[in-house]
Formats: sequence, structure tokens, C-alpha cells
Amino acid sequence: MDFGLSQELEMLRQSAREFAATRVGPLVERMEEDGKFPLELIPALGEEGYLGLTVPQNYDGLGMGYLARALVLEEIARVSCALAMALQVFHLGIEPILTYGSEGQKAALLPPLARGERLATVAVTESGGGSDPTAAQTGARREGDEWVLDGRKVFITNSHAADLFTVLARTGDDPPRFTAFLVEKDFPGFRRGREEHKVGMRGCNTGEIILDGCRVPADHVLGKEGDGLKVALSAISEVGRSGMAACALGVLGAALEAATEYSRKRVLYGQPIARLEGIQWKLAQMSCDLEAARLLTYRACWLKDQGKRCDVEMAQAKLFATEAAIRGAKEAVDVFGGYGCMMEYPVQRYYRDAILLGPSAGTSDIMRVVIARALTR
Amino acid sequence: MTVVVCVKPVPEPQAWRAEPVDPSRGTPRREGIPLVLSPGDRRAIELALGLSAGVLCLAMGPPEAEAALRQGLAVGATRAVLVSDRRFAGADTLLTARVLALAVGRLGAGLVLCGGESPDSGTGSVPVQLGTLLGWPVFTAMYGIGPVQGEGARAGSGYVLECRMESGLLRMVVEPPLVGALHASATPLRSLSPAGIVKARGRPLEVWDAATLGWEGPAQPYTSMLGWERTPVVSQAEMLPGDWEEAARLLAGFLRQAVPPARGDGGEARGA
Repeated sequence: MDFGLSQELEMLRQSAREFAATRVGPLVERMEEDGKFPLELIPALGEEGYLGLTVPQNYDGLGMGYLARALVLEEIARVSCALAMALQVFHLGIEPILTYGSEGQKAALLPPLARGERLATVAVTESGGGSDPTAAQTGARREGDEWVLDGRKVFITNSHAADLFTVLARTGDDPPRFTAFLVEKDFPGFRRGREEHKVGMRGCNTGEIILDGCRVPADHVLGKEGDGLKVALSAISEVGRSGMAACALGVLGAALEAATEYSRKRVLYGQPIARLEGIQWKLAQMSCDLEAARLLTYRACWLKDQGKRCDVEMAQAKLFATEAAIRGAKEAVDVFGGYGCMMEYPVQRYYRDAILLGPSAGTSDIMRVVIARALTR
Repeated sequence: MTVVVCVKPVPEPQAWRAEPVDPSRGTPRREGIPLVLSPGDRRAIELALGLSAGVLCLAMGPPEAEAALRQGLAVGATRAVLVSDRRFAGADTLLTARVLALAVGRLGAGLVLCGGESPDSGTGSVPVQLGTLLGWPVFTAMYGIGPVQGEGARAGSGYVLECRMESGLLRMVVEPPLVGALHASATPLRSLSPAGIVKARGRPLEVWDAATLGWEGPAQPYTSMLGWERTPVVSQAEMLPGDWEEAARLLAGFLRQAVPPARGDGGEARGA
């Protein structure tokens, strides 16, 4: 059993660390203030290969795989969870095309997506509930060579940055049937709705898309008609959840680093608080949580890279890593005491960002359902 | 023409800065820390790529130094050579320069660029020692280099060198062979990127030992390190008591004491 990363993956980690420090770090303050996604980063993310990490080389991607992607997301999330979240959802937007796209769809769409000339996302959630996608009311009816979509999708990450959406829509009622459609931003009847004002991950855009008689050519069905749930949910379950887990690793790592550094410098009772047992316990727990979350996440991604089934492992990684990040970020705020609640210190941002790791790509309770079902079937 | 860039694998700064000295030996700590390419060396690769499509990274170090050379390939170098032999373990700057000089001779190169001071020990002496051993002129504080343009006698063979001095930028024409050591501000770093990493997969990296260089017998460093201490950074804070007016008065008094007003500016007559 070899727990070491290859030389190439270590180098990739370093490249992401540098990118985060030099390109992302200077934007964080502005992203916190205006909540806008920094679109000016897209050319660099495309040219340097960050958007095409999982896209095969024959489609202009790098084909580095999902463990590589997790390492990159972790490093970027150490600096900005918001940017890492946006990036992970751009990858998620590519995944259904990669897995279920026809050869023609892949050849037309994957190269510009890998190069960052176009950006994709997935639109499944509706106001009726994210945890139960079968409650989706967005409907699609066939008219000649087109489908006509009506409905409203909410809490869509990258809603106002992406220009290609994998939309889940109901195409039959008894029994309910769902189909996935590739909807482009300039299709008639497509428009963007409100942008959400979130407590955390500011600078990662979340918002609505509205389909008002949106006309979609028949060749924009992704996968088979009626296979929509499989198309959308397999991408979310494997790529969305591993992305969230990797973002959580970054937040937890940053929180641990900040808390450790602060505890060495902050003096109370005539000594650095790092020497106080109460503080040491917090740091020790965060450190154990980080290592355990890493092992779960890296292993789940490794399974995906091997082409093995990994839905349960992804759920375990997502559940543990995101909950550990929320706990750890809260502990970091506690280590900082009153300063932890001041906007001048980053730990408050880690805590606000961590809260958002929970619901995205499936809540913790849904992860428990996935894991328990596998145990008891 | 191949340009040789001598690179130094250095401890990864983030991991190294927290505890840079090995307390048992009093020397820079390297064990257990990944080796990466020094930022100055990446600048040198960038300058070299502006001169030639063939850029060779040359380093001396333990087998783990291969990772740093792979980074050199990922930022654009086309070939890499690592000189690695147990005989060279614990080498000082002069022994390192002797080994590199032999390697440069074997490569038949005429232009060698170095990154200047490394971020770990940073004596900046290897390029000078290397040039001396090769019998080549050495240019320090190099800021830029390009081929001589036009129809003159040196066109096509000479280089226009820019060296950044304290007083300004010195520009001159020189003929190879030469060794150039970069100024810390020369040319921006090229990003280490996933695309660069994948592109570099097929680029050759050779490992040479002492025998490859024709080195016979032991290799003794010329100096022995007695110790290495960090320059202490002293920081001090003082809370100013009272309301803001009182605090401002105290602060002004403190600043006057720390930075006396220039003669004749009337500062002494102004109130706090």
C-alpha cells in the first residue's frame, strides 16, 4: 500500500498552490465585497489547464483524472473556497457530456470547455427541493424537431457565469420520466434570474435560471430520453461530491494553519496559548480530521480514476470532510477568541464558507442515506 | 544552440520557513522537505527560452532533486541533467561549482545562466566560481539578454546583456562563452501549470554520476559549516493608554523621538 503521491501529482499540487497564491489570493477581498465571480481568471484557468483536468487529451484536455482534480481544488480552496467551488462546478458541468455525450456532442463541446472558451454547469435543483430531484416541475414537451422547456431552476452554481447548462426536465408523468438537455444561454426562452446573496463563498455565483418556452433542438438531449436522473445524478454523486470534499479539505487546512500560527503568537497567562491544553486539543482534533478526510477523499477519487464504483465512498468522503471543515472552522474561530469574529482575520471567512459546504451536492443527511442504504441492502 | 541553466533544488519554502535550521547540526534543514526549483532559476529558464528553443536544466543533488528538474521541464526546459553521486553529498559551493563545470564541459555549452541567490542558503557564489573554473567571464545582476541585432561584426554571435546596478541599468555587448547570474527582479516567473506538467512528460531527464564526468577519487568540500543562524526579527508592541486624543498625543511624541524632524521644518513648533 503506497500512500505517497506521484512526482507529477506533487508538482501539480505545487502548481495549484502557486496559482492560488499569486492569481486568486489578490482577488479574495474584492470577491468578499462585491460577491461577483472574477471572470477575468477564466483565460488563465483555461490556458493553464485547470478547466480541462478531467477532459481527455484528444478533446484538448489534460486527462489527469479525479485525484489530480481533488489536489488542485484543495490547494485553491485553502486560499479561496469560493473560487474552488466555482471551478469544481465547471468540472461538474463537463462531466455529463464526458460520460453520456454522443461522439458529436463531445467533439463539439469538450474542446472549448477544456480551453475555457465556454463554461458549463448543471441545473437540477428547484424550489420544491434539492434533495428530491424527482419533485422537479420543470417540464419538456416535444414539438417537431425541438423540445420546449418551461420551469425555474434555483441555487444553480455558476448560473450567471456559465453558457451551457445540463438541465433536468420532466418528460413524462406516469411513471415520472426525466430527461437531460443541453441548454445554451442564447436559446430562445432562456434567461437568468436573480443572483443569490450568500453568507459564504462570496465570489462564487449562485442564482436562478428561467426557462420560459425555451426551445432546445432535439439533438441537444444528453444521454437517452428518460435517462435524465442517471445523467445528472451520477455526475453529482461522483464529481460534485468529490469536489465538495476537496473544497472542504482546503478550508479545513487553512483553518488549521491559521489557528496553529495564531496560537504560537498569542500570549495569555504569560505564555503562547499553543501551550494551553484546551487549545492543543482543538488543534489535534482538527489535524486528525484533516488527515482522515484526506484519506477518504483521495481514496474515493482514486477509485474513480480506476473506473471502479465509488458512489458510497464519495458520499463518505463528502459527509466526513464537509462536517469536519465546519467543525474545524468553528474551532479556529474559537482559538482566535474575539478576533475570530473580526472581518480583518480570515477565520470568520473559513467558517462562513464551511457552512455552505453542507447542502451543496447533497446534504449530510442525504449522504447518510446513501451510505446506510449500501450497508443494509 | 543549447543554453544551459544551472538550477538549485531548494526546500519547498512553505514547509521550510517554519523551521529552517536543523538544531542538531546548525545547518539549513532539508530532510523530509520536498525539493523544488528556486524561483530565481525559473527566471533564468524564462530568459533562456527567449534566446533558444533548446534549454537544458543542469543540477547537482540527491536523487530527490529530480523533482525540481521535472519542474524545470514543466516550465519550458527541453532537457535536464541531474548529477547525483554519494561522493558529492555535503558539497559546499566550490565543490558544486567544480562538478557543474565538468558537466558544462561535457555538454559543450557556451552560454550558462544561473538564478542568482537561492532562497535557502543564498551565498550567490556558485556562478562566480563556475565561471572562474571554466575560464569564462561572469556577469552578475543580469536583468536581460538578447542576440545582437543588425549587420555589425557581432550580429548573430554576440549578446546584448543588461545588468541592473544600484545606479541604473548597464547595457553591453558580449561574446560567448559566458556565465550570467540573474538579478532577483529579472523577468517574471513563468507559471508552473497543469498544462506545462503534461507537456513535459516526454522530455528527457538524464542522471549522471561521478564516473560519467570522469571524476576520480573522493570529493572533499573546501569549507566546513560551523553553524547557521537566522537573523532575529524583533517586533514589539505597546498599547497607548487614554482616549483617542491622549493616544494621538503619545503617538506623535513617540514618532518625534523615533524620527527627529529635519532642521528648519518648524516641526518643533507644531502641536500634537
